[in-house]
Amino acid sequence: MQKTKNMKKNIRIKAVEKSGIVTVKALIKHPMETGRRKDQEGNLIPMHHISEFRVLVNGIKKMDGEWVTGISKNPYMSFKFQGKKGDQIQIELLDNLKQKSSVETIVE
Amino acid sequence: MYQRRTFLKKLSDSSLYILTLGAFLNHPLKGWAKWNQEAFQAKEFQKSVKAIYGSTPIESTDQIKIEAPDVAENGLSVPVSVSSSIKQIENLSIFIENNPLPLIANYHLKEGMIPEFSLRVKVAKSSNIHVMVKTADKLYGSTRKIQVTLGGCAED
Repeated sequence: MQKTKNMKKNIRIKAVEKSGIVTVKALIKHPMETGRRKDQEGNLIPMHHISEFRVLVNGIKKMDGEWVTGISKNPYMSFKFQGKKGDQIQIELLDNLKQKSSVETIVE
Repeated sequence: MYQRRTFLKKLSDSSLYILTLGAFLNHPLKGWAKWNQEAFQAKEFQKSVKAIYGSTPIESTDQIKIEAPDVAENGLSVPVSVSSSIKQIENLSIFIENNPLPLIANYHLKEGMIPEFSLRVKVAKSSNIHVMVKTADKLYGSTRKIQVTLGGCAED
């Protein structure tokens, strides 16, 4: 198994407003290695997971949180907040190897 | 000599204080969530809950809804949706009791967030899913069983 060295900008995001509620769906490309799996040669694949994330709406933090290896590979997240069309959403991620990644979108 | 020593001690104490204060002021709102090492590395469910919420009593509630398949074929990716009608939630966390690391996600919510989340999780073996919700003064909990045909945290 190849482990991903770089956490590139590979987050897909969509945010849609309906009657005052914005639904955000994001799909993130990340191996989320538990540190328990072995490769073909029997070596343990080191732990590699998204550890922290935060969500900013128009530059103001709305939510943050922590994840660990129990989240599936290529994590999917969806959440809702009170907002409107044109709001700017930013999701920032940090993994346990201190690699950062972020994505921005405008509410449709 | 004594005075000099006390003076130096005081000096180092206060500079430490200033440094800490500086570090704190340097990252106010833009700071990342506080990674709770103890809670996330706890191998037992109860320990993990304690590490994150202390010994606050947990009130069972039906105001937290956990949606997940009753039987999941593939434990590597189990869709879970959590929602709650409790007002002013500050914190929400998800535990899978029988996983090697039970605490899998912890969310801190600010005003305007609606407590409705979907995610996909790994489930090692058939287990209870616990969702805890914390408001300013109370801690609520809800549980749901999930059966897994193929475990999601295999050793190899």
